[in-house]
Amino acid sequence: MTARPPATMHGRPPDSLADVLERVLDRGVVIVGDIVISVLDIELLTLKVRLLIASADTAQKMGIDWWTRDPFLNASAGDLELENQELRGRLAELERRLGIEGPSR
Amino acid sequence: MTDDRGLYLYAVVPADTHIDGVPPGVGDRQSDLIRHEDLGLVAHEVDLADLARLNEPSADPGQLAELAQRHDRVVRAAMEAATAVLPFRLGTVLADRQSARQFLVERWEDLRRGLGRLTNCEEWGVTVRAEGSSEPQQTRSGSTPDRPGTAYLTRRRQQLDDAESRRRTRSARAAEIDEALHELSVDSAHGPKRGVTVLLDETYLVRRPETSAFLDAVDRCGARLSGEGIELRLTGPWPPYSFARLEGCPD
Repeated sequence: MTARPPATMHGRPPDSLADVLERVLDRGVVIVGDIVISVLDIELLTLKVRLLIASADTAQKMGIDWWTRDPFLNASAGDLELENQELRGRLAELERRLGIEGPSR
Repeated sequence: MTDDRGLYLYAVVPADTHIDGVPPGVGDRQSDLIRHEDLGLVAHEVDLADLARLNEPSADPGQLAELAQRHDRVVRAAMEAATAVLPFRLGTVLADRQSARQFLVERWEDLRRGLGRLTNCEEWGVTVRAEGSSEPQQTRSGSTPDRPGTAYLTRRRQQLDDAESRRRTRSARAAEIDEALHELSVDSAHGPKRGVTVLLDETYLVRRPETSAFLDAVDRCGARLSGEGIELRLTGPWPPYSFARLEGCPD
């Protein structure tokens, strides 16, 4: 492979944890039937992880730092506020679906 | 095998695959191949209690992250060792080896077809985002107008028109990229679009011999975007997670 120009190389940290989670969580062959043991509630876990990824604070503890390179998240304050509002809405929805309480304010 | 053990499945590979180099997976266990005819299941025994812990509300999210990473590492190593890999959904557990063999026998044809479709293929993720604001820039006219209200409205309309045309240009650019990359891929799948600035979130299934042509095309697209306020991000190569399907099985 030849040298890569900046546009592509820029966005190519070796797969971040967020990338891995996003890719493996709800993909792959699903087996149905009696032979399967349902140990993991994948649907619930997927919701949990999406919630987690949306929460920058926890993500940082997990070593996910993609937002520091993410131009969308580093955009102007107006965009950030919109993004913030959208995320709050999605968080609230996820918390409702998971039946858990959000942090009290 | 007792009730508290199960068999964790990673992927289907051709039976002649050497998986000695595959790293330890869930619970630090080493996988082996369960074979039937020309197919093999990459799998190992697992303590069900280890997995069940993840369901608890108090479970440390880091544990799920570790499970996902170990799963990915094993599937990835299997992909590197094999001519084709058909990954299972994270957390797929069968009762024991006997049920795994039974599964292989019963679904052999479907599994062969599913695996065959992915021979020599990897997937690549491409996201294209608009950088910064799509809101109009403040433009100032030098002269002080006699009718400031009309001037304001004219300026405002101009700004909105500009923003709209910028939006159209960006969408067109994303469509061009998709078309160029689609041509070099076997198949493609939509990713979960996030946010209003995401212009493209697509996964492409690419044959290994086509990889360098595909990456060159990505580079060309990326180079063309510089200066247009659009960023292209590539991840991969990944095992073909997004294209792993069996006929007659729900996605």
